[in-house]
Order: sequence, then C-alpha cells, then structure tokens
Amino acid sequence: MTANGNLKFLLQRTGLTLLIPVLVYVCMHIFCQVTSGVGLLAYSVDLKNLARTWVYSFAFSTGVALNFFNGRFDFSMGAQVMFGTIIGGNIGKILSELTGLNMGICILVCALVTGLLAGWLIGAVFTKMRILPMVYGLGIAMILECVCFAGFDSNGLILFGVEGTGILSELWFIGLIFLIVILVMSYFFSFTSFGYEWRAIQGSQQIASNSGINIFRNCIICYLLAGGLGGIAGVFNAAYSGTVLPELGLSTISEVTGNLFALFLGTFIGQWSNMIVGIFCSSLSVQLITIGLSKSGLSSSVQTVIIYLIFVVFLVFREKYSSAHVKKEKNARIVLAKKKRAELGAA
Amino acid sequence: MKKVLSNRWLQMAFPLLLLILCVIIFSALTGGRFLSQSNISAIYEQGLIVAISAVGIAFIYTTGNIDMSVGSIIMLAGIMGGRTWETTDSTALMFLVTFAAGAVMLYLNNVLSAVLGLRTVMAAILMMNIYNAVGAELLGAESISIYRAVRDIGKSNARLYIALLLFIVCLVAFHLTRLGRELRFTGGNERCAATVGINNKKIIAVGYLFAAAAVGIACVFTLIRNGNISSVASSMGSDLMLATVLGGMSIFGGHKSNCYSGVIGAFTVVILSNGLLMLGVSNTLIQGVRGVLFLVIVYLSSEHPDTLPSRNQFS
Amino acid sequence: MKNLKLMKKAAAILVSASMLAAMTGCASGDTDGGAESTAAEQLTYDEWMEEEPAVIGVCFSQINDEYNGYKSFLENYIGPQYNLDFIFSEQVDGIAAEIDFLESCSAQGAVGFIDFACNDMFQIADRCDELGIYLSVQMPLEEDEKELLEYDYFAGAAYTDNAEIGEQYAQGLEKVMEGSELEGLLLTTGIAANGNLQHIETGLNVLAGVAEMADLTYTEDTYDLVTSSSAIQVENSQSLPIYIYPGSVANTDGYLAGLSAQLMTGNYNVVISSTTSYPQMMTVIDEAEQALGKDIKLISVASIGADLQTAMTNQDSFGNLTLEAAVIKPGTWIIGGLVVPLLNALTGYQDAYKTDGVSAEYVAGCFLVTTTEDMEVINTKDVPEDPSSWVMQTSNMEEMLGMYHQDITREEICEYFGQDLNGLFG
Repeated sequence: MTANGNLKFLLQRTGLTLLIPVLVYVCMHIFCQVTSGVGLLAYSVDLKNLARTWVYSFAFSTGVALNFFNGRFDFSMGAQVMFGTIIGGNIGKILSELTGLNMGICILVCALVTGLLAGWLIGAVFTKMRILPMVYGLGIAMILECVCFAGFDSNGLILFGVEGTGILSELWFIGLIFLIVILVMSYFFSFTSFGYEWRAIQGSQQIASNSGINIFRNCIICYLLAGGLGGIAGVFNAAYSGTVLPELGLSTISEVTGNLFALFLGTFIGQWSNMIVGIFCSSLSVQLITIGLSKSGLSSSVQTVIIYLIFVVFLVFREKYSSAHVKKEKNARIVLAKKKRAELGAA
Repeated sequence: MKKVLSNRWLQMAFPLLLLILCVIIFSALTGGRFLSQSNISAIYEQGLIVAISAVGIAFIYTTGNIDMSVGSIIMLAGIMGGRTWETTDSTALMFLVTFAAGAVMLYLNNVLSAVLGLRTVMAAILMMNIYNAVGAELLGAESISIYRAVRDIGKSNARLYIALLLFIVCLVAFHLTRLGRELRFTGGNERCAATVGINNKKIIAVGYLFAAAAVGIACVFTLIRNGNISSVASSMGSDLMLATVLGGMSIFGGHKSNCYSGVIGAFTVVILSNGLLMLGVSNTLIQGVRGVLFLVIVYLSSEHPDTLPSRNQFS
Repeated sequence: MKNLKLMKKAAAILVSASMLAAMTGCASGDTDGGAESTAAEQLTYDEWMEEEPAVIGVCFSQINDEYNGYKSFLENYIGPQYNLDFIFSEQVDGIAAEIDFLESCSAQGAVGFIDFACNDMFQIADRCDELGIYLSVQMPLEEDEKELLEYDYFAGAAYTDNAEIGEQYAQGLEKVMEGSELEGLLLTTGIAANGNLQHIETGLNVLAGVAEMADLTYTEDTYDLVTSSSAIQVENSQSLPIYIYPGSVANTDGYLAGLSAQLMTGNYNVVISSTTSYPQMMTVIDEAEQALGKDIKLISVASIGADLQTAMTNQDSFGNLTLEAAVIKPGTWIIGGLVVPLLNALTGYQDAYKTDGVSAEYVAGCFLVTTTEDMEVINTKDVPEDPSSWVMQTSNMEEMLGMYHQDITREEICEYFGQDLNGLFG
C-alpha cells in the first residue's frame, strides 16, 4: 500500500470511528436547544461533568469487556469498583495525611492498587475454583459488598470538603488519565502477547489452550486489569458525586447491566480501530445522550426507556449491518470467483 | 477426595444431602427452634415462588440460555394486575391479567433475541431495564395494597396444589418426553442437535412456553404472597441462578440438566438465610457469610473442567 | 441399563415430590404465634427483669451509618436496661423481604416488632395481630390508616412531625436569606411525586415561605407543583425563577448533570434539598458557584454524622458554610419512642399505650441548625461509643414507662415525647 493509500485508509478509519460520537453530539445539541433552550455543553461545568462521567463509563465498560468477550460475564465488576474506591480510597486518604502527598493522587493510586490486588485475587481464585463465571461473580459481589460495608464504619468514601481532591475534577488531569489508560490498554492489546492470546482465547479457548497459550494466566491478567480500571472509575465517580456509599443487596449488579450499551456500541465502533478506542467513543456517546436527556427535564423512567430504546434500535441496526456486510463480502467473493473462472477459461 | 467428589451418584445426590445437612446443623445450633412449625412454614412460603420459577426456567437454562429479567417481569406483571384490580375490583381478573402479562413478557425475550440475533441473556437484560423503567413510570414510589383481597387465598392450599401440578407436568415433559431430550441435546451442542434434525429455534421457543407458564404462575403467587404491589423489582433473576446452581445443575445447560434442581436449590437458599439469621449472625455480615457459603457449596457440587468455564453471551 | 435409567428418573421424581408434599403441612396459614405476649398483670421493673428476655424484631429499610447507630443504641443501651433481645434485619427493600423477616422473627419467638420499612402497614399490622406480636412503626399514618390504631397489637407510631420539618425549612430559608435577596430558588422534591409525605410537606412549606418572603402568588396549586414528576418552572406573580426538580441521585441517571445545568443558568442562588443527598450535590453546587462567581446557598434535611460535620465545617469559595442550614431529626429520641409503647404493652400497662382501645402516634419535633457551633453541639449527640450522648436517655424512657409510673396515660406520654427538645440538645 502506498503512503497516500495508507493516509486515505487512516483518515477513513478515523472518520468512521468518530462518526457516531459526532452524530450523537449534533442530535443531542439540537434536542437540548429545542427542549431547554440551551446547548448540550453550554457551560464549562458541563464539560467537567461530561469528563468525569465519561471516564467512569469508559473505565468500567473496558473492565467488563476484558472478561465479557472471553466468555466470562462478570457480575462482580460493580462491587469491585466499590471495593477499590472505598477501601483503596480511604487508605489513600490515610496515606496522604501521614506523608503529606497530594490527596487526590494518593487516593487514585491507592484505589488503583487496591483494585489491581483485588482483581488479581479474584482472578486467581476463579482459576482454582473453575465454577461458572456468572455464579462466581454473584458470590464475589456479595462478599465485596459486605466488606465495603463493614469497613470504615459504613461511611464509604467522602471526598467532598477534603483538601487536595480538587485535582480529580480538573479537566487536564482527567484528560491525562484518559490518555494514560488508552495508551496502556492499547499497548497491552496490540503490542503484547497478552493481547494476542486474549483474541485467540476469544476465538476458542480449547484451541488456544491446545496451542500452548496459558489461559489461566490470561484470565488472571484480565481480572487484574478489570480491577485496576474499576478503581480508577470509582474514584472519578466519587469526585463527581462527592461521596461513595457502600450498598448491600447485590445492587451493584445494575452498574454492570447499565454499562452494556457502551460495551456493545464500543465493539461496533471498534471494528474501525480497536476495542479500547471503540469503547472510548461509545462511552462518550452514551454520556452525551444521558446528559442531553437530563437537561430536558423528562422524568427519570422516561429517560431510561428512551436510552434503552435507542439501544434496541442500535442492536437492530447492528444485526442488519452485519448481515448486509456479510452479504456484501459474499457478493464480492462471487464476483471475484467468476472473474477468475473467466480468466482461467480464457487462458 | 477428588474421586469421591467426582462420583456421579454423589454428585446427583449432593444437593439434597446438602439441604438435609443444613437443616440438621441449624436445628442443632438453634436448639431445635429451626424445626418449629412456624419456621418450616416460613421456609415453605419464602421458597415456593423461586421453586416454581426455577422449574420453568430450567427449560431455558437447559438450552444454554439465561434469563435474568424474571424479577422485573414479576414486578411489571403485578402492576398491570394491580391496576386491573383497582379498575374492576375483580381478583380473578387480576390474576388472569398478571399471569398473561408475566407469560407474554417472558416469551417476548425469546422473540427479541431471535429478532436481534442476540443471546437471550442480552435480550433479557435489555428488557429488564425497560420493564423497570416502565414500572417506575406507571407506579413510581406508590404501592397498591391487595392484601385483603388475597388473604384467604393465601391461607388455603390452592398454591401448593397448583405448584405440585406444575411440577409434575414439567417433570414429565422434561424427563419422560422427546421434548426434554431435544432440549438437553440442544443445550449440550447446538450444532450437533441441528445436524440430527432438531430445530433449535423451535425447541427453544417451546422451552420458553413452559418457562412462561411457570413464571406467569409465579407472578400470581407473588401477588398472593406479598399482598402488595410496588415498582421495586426483586432479585429473582440472580436468585434463580443461585438456586439452580445450588441444586446441582449447570446454568449453561446440557445433557445433565434437570428441572428439579431449582426446587432443591430454592429451599436451600432460604434455609441458609433463615438459619444464619436465627444463629444471630450480624445483619451487616449475613450477606458476606452467605456469599462465602454459596461459593463453597457451588465449588463442592460443580464439575471442574480442565479449561476455564466460559460461554459466549454475546451472540 | 434402561431399567437403571428408569429407576434414576423415578427416584428423582419421588424425592422431589415427597419434599414438596412434606410442605403440605406447612401450607396452611396458621402458624405458631409468638410467645404469650400480654402480661396478665402489670409488672414492675424488677418483676420484668426477672422474666425471660423479650425478643424484638427490628426491620431496617436501609443499612447505613445512621442505622448502625440505632442498632448500637438498641442492642447495647436499651436492651440490657430493659431485658430486651433484638433481632436486626438486613436491608429490606420491599414488602416480600419485610414479610420474610417478620415470619423469621415470629419463628424465633419475637413478641415485638419495630418497623422502619412500613411497606404495607395494613398487611404488617394484620400479620402481627395473627401472630400475637406487638407492632411499633416509624411512619406517620395517613387518614385511611388511622384505623390501625385500634388494632389489638398495634402499639403505636413514632416519628418526626413532617409539618414541622417543612416549617423548619421555611425558617431556615428566612434565616439564610437575612441580608440577601432571593434571586431564584431550585427546589429538589425527591419522591414527592410518588406521595412521600415528608417531601411534600417540605415543598409546600418552602413555597409558602417564598411566597411570604417575596410577596408573590402562584398561578397553579402548590400541591400540584410539588408533586410534579417532571422538572418544571413555577409561574408566579413576581416572575421569580423557581424550579421544581424531582428525583434523587440514587434513582435518577444524570441527576447531577441536570442539576448542574440548571444552576449554570445563573438564575438561582438558593437550593433546597428535600432529601438527605446533599453530600452528592455539594460538589456540583460548589463548581457552579466558582464558574458563576456567585454564592449559592444550600438548605437540606440531614442526619447527625460525618456528612453533616463535613458540610457544616467546610466553607465554599465565598467563605460561607457549604450547607447553610440543616433540618435535623432527633435521632434516638424517635427510636426510644418506638420502644416505649412496646414495653408498656409487654408489661401490661394498657392505659399507657391505649385509650379506649386506640393507640397513639408519638410525634416529635426537629431542629434547625445554621451555624458550625450549633452543628458541633448536635454532633456530640448519638455517638455510639458514648452512652451518655444518646438523645433518648433511660431517664427519659422512665418518664414514659408504666413500670415506673403505674398511672401514666397515653396522652401524658405523647405530651412528654412531643416536648421542645432544644433543652436536651443544649
């Protein structure tokens, strides 16, 4: 392929990747203008709100995707986020008070490390227990919720009024974290054996195992990364809402199901780039829709119905698109085969 | 130990033995209070709805599909029935509408998954959120009290007889008919099943019919049991999964599936919860203790493959 | 082989069917009631303490720091003092869980039931009557629920007066606006749209207070405005921007984004929260203040605890408290009020909890806190580690118990319970 060809290919792919977020922005901007008289992102605070919810949705959805596409629907992701945030965040607060380090960064790092450790442990136990991942996720969610509740006097993580946490709401800092996460995860997926093995396992676990891939190590790494991403997600959510309270009763499962739209849309967009960039764009799109609807003043249940109807429409489109795409490729192959036969016949 | 645990007869009997063991342990630790008639009654009442749903849902699990929207379906069907009762003051009509709504909504998941080309679990999660939102919009934080209308029905044995009848019908259909064999075959390997002439979509649809009937009945039983309708969806979806697995059946289906595991598992769950409460386990720790016990029990009663258990839940 | 398969199937069917059939004996609604719960004679304190401890079930609607404090109060302070054993529920989020817990309590010989969840009062009261368990609820009774007071086993209801909560809000608004002009009000109405009485009373009183303060009238009925399920601008004779914003952080996606969007219009300088989700709102409000360069005052209902302390000790960018005014409920005063009628019933003092067969609603006031100093006094109360900090002391309980005052009546207890609590809070 020539340099021009490469450039054209790159531009085409970039354009397709950004198409959906841009389209969503335009639609929601018009919607907001009509319903509330102001634009979608009319104020600087809107951008901050978007950034925080976007990074939460992106990190959470990516964490779920790591296991989801390898046949492990992990219901414990919401509980892992809560665990990393509350336990890790509070440890970070104590550490910052003892050492004088920046509070916000301490909290973020400790939540990340706690999430990584928890994820590693959960993954390691899973590879030993080898029970159904859905059931395993439910059991782990029960345990983690209980631990979060029992720890720190059930107060959760309070960030409001805590000096030094303002950095977690700064746009430049959020952008920096975004960049680091995307670069690290893209590197993992595209330039390491982990990524290749992950895709191989996604195809067939048995074949991957037979060909020498250590599926257990890959699984543990998936859980470890998911836990770390969960810790990051939770801290930014805590910065936005000021406090994260522990919950019981498996209510964290709704976080997992609530982020499936971003996940599915992300894999669709990711066909033109990679899954990480795809989820990056899809989580932005979903947050733009959520913010736009919240500005409209519609009741929360109506907003939920609208979002899920959009989800259904997307799934129908995805199904038709896939069929159309498959048909198109099949037709192209038929044309090529006929052409080849004609050439051979002439020869 | 591994040989003992992998013995097929022990694996079959394990869930029941476990249930009996739990009863014995809790009885001993509570000085016999656990076996009081009031407690046994409570266990029966609390486990019946999950048991009924599990008998029907087994037809779905057997084919390798999972449906988590049962809690939301029960909620929304109840609201529809409740609104009917408020309008017509007819308990019979309320039951009829609730049954029909519950059955139709569950069957809709199958239709949707076929149309969208998704696994049922995805379609079910989608519909679960929509049902929750619709329920919240219809009823909000209000509730409809129907207690006085259903109190006498709740005291009668009608529910038990209906449950037994459903159980026998499902048991016969699942274990003694071709339908059951085809369901298990489809769950074991869809491609092989298709190769030998089994119409996978049709058999899954028939399985859904049984599940829809069972869930419809569960919706009605929920009305009778609760005597109150609200827009709070229960955790029935995850309860069914736990009950089925605790009862010794894989939720990924296959040839070893059966339709009575959920019954055993449902009562095991309730016995565990009641027993822990009776033993005075702190209310803040009870969930964690339950989680640990679940994982241990599932570990002991499950087969452990050489590779990792997984199932593509996307499409 | 075929026979073996048939035998396996038959065995499976037999086992499961026999298990279900064994439940036949349990299917009837009749169960063992609680232990003999009404004392034939009135017991003195010493006589009561010689009895077996009475088991009381406590049904929590949520489990958090506040309820953990109540648990500590009941378990460690009230229980040993009055020979009571408490069973605490997990978080009860619906009627099914509430009934399950009630049945479990009955199976454990409970003679009393304190209900914070109150998902269906008639049903719970009926079931308690059948089981012979005295019931005490933490919920105001609506008009059609007043007949519950005539139930044999309905001991009473104890709660904070919603109307007074609403009045305190209005007073709080007046106080924080001293020396300032009300430019616009954003009122979050929580679940008023779904009939929550407290949220409705708050909304009504706030709108009434604003009307008086700004000398305006509304074009629509204030009840309809407050119970709106969608966000709306309230039209009024002075064209003062008043925005009703229903929902809460917990149950509404994008709630904070919507709140932020409204604040950023710059039309509002007061936010009134009907719910206790002010900790989640403070960040958004603070950012709006910084972006607009304008002070936005926040008034909310609150519970004693870490959140209140944070909110009333931190200052915003204008040097004001983050939470300018808080309406505080009287904590364990209410909890003690739930135990009092149960104890009177269990010790045989009929007149102490019923008059002419009718039980009472025990209504307490609440507090308005507008300064850090006030908050610091409040925060010394209901500290689990310090029994002397409980708002409801045993000395107060004794004033309401028949065991100590054999001729005490229901009305006298109501009067004592509803006293001005400012003295107790210093």
